[in-house]
Amino acid sequence: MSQNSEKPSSQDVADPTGPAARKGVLISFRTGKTMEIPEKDILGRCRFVGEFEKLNRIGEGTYGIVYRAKDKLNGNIVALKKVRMDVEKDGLPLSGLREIQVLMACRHENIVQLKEVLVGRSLERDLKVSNLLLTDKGCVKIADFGLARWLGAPARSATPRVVTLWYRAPELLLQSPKQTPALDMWAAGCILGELLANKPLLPGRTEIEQLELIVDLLGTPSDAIWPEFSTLPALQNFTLKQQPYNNLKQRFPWLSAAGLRLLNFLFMYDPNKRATAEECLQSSYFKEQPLPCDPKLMPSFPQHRNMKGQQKPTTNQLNIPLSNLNTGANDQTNNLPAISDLLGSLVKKRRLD
Amino acid sequence: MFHSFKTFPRYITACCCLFLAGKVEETPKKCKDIIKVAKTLLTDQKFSTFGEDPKEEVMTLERILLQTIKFDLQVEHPYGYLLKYAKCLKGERAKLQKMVQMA
Repeated sequence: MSQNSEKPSSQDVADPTGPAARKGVLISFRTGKTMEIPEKDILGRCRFVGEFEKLNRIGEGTYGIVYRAKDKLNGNIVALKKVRMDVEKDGLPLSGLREIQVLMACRHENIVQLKEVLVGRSLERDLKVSNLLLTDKGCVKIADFGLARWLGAPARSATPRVVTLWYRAPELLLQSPKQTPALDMWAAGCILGELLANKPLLPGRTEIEQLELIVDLLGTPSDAIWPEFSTLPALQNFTLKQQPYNNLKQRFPWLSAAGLRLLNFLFMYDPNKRATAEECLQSSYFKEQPLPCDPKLMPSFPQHRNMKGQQKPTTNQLNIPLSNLNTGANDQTNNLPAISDLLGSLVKKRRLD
Repeated sequence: MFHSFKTFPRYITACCCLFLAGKVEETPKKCKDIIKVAKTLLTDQKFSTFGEDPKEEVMTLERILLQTIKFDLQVEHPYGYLLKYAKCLKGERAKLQKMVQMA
C-alpha cells in the first residue's frame, strides 16, 4: 500500500499537543480503491498524564520513580513511571527509549505490559527478584526493561557490567565481551535459589566477592568444563582461588534430584552449555510433585499500599505451581518467550498451604 | 502530516530525527556533535533557524517528535525485505549490489 498523505497547506498552524486533524488516504494495492488509514496506524498524540490518578509510590530506581496509578478512563490500575530528566544532558535517556521499545514489542502474561504493555530475542540484563512482581492473582510479571536491548542475530559485543551484582553471570564478571541469553538464565538460577532458600543466593558486595561466592558454591571452573575460561580478559590479571567441590547439594539438602539437576544446569559455567529457557521448561522438576499450581491457585494477598517487594513469597516449602507450563512449553518452539514462562513456573512452584 | 515545517523548521527537525535515530539504533550521537556538523553543511542563513541555543531547540523538538510518533519507534524497514529479495535473484553480484544500493 502506498501512503498518500495530504500535504499540509502553508497556512496550517499546528498545535503540537492537539489531536491529529487530517486524515491521510491509502490506496490499496489489492483493490486499487482508496481507503482510510486504520485508526491504529494513525500517529497521534500521547495521552496526558492527567488522565491517570497517582495512587501511591511503588518504588524508585536509578532511572526514575514508579507509581501505582489508576486510568481515569477505564479504571485500570497501571504502573506509571516518571523518568528522571534532570540529570540528562542529552535529552531522553537511551535506557528509557529502550524500555519503551521493548515493552511496546512485548506481549506476555508474565511481563508487565506497557499499559499492560514477550521477549523474543531480547536480553533482559537486569533480571532480579526486585524486578519480579507477583500480582494479587498469582501472575508473575517481569518489570524494568531499562537495561533490556535487542539481540542482533550475531552477538554484538554489548556494554559489560549490566545486571545487578547478585544475579550476574560469571562470564560477565570475568569480562567476556559477548552477551548471550545465557546471562538471563544464570539470573534465573539465582532467582530459583533465592525462592528456595528465601534469601539471596549469592549476595556479593563487590565483583571479586561475587566471584568468590560463586566459586564457593560451585567450585573453580576450568578449561575442561568451560573452553573459553582461561582466555577471559579478567583472568589475565588475577586467578581464582581453588575450590574443587560443588556445594549445591549441601546448600539445598531438601531439594529433589530433579531440582538439583535444574539448578546445576542453570549454573553451568560455560554459557554455551547452560540451560536454555525451553530446556528448563522441559525439566522433570516441573513435572514432579509438588506440581506447579494453576495460577488461579496461587496464594493471593491483599493489595499492599506503599509496600515494596510484594513478590517475596513467605513459605519455605517449595512448591506447587504451574500449569501453563505444559501448554507453554510446547508452543515455544519458534518463538522464544520462554524465559518469562520459566520465571512464571519457578515462582508458581511454591507451596501454598 | 501533523505539523508544518513552518512551525517546526526543517533543518532542526532533521537534526532532531538524526539525534533520536542514533539513540534508537543503539549508536547514540551527541546532540552538540550533530549540530556542529549541521553548521558546517548549512548556509549561515539556514543555520540561523536554529536560534540562540541550538541544542535546547533540538531537545525541545525531541519531545514533540516523540509525542507525535507516540513513542512508537518500532519501524519495520524495507531494507531487510529488499536484501532477501535480492538474494533470490540470480545474476552478477556486483550488479545486484548496485541495484540494492540504488533502491
